[in-house]
Amino acid sequence: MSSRRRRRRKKGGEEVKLNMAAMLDMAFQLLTFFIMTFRPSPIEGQIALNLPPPIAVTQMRPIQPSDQAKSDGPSLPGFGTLVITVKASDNGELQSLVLGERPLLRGALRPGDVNALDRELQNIFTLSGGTFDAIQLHVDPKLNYSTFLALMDVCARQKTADGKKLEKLSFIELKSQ
Amino acid sequence: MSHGGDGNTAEPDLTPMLDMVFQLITFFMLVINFKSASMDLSLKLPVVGSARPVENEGIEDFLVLNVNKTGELVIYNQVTPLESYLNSEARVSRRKLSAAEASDPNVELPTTIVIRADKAVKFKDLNRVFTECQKRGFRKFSLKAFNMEDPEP
Repeated sequence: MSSRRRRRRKKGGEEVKLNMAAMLDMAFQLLTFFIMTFRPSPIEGQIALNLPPPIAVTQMRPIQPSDQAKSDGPSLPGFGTLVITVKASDNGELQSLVLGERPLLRGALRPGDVNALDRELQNIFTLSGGTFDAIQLHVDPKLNYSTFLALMDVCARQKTADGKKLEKLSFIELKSQ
Repeated sequence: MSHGGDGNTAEPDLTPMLDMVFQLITFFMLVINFKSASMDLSLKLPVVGSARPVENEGIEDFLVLNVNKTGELVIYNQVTPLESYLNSEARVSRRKLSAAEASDPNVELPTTIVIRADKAVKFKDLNRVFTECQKRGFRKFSLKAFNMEDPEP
């Protein structure tokens, strides 16, 4: 057909004109669809965790420096796990945070508290000289996700005495009173 | 497009307009993200400074679970029963394992659970999601957060 047209053009000098209007209509419809469905997704970060089902432990002995730890007897079950107990007020904010058996924070979580907890955990994991290799959070069911995630973030940042990233991180729900 | 009078016809050259429109279509086709359909953008995620952008995108498979402030699971903007949804997704994930691995009931499933939860959700509700996932063999979790305050009110 095209050869016939070409031949015809040569003879009669006619020009083939494409109807652009139809194509433009379709293109505008497509454009409208894409503009209407365009929704730039917000940039989200993530905290990656490997969480096998937790086994509840209790703090077997107080937190102590490595030289004292070495002098103690055989290791007890759950000894390598640092227990952090988190209680919440009725509105879901932090009420108290107990590190092992030592109260550390009281009242709603402030940015300074997160840094204080971070320093404290760094000291424990460094000073204990390998005594602790895991953290278990005992969390009040009323605690809001925002505070919980802030605490998980601090815990996930910790490194064990040999410089490796802390991988044994778990949490269990405290029984509501 | 006849204008009466002398019977002249105005024929604008549509080619540049068509070019521009196709360029715009190409742009929108490239930036369209169907993954965001699975995300409930009405959720207010918590803000955590050290939350890192996703680095292993495209390598592993993900299952996005949106948890609203009342602790309900929201999938494609529909409140969905958690247990039945996880059962079906665990079956799908198990199919990706070899036959020997899939026969082990305690095997770790290869899917990463991406949790997008509202910052006001109670730990009790969130823990239910974690526990149900762990019961079905999911071990890898990714907790979503903004790393700066959301500019929208």
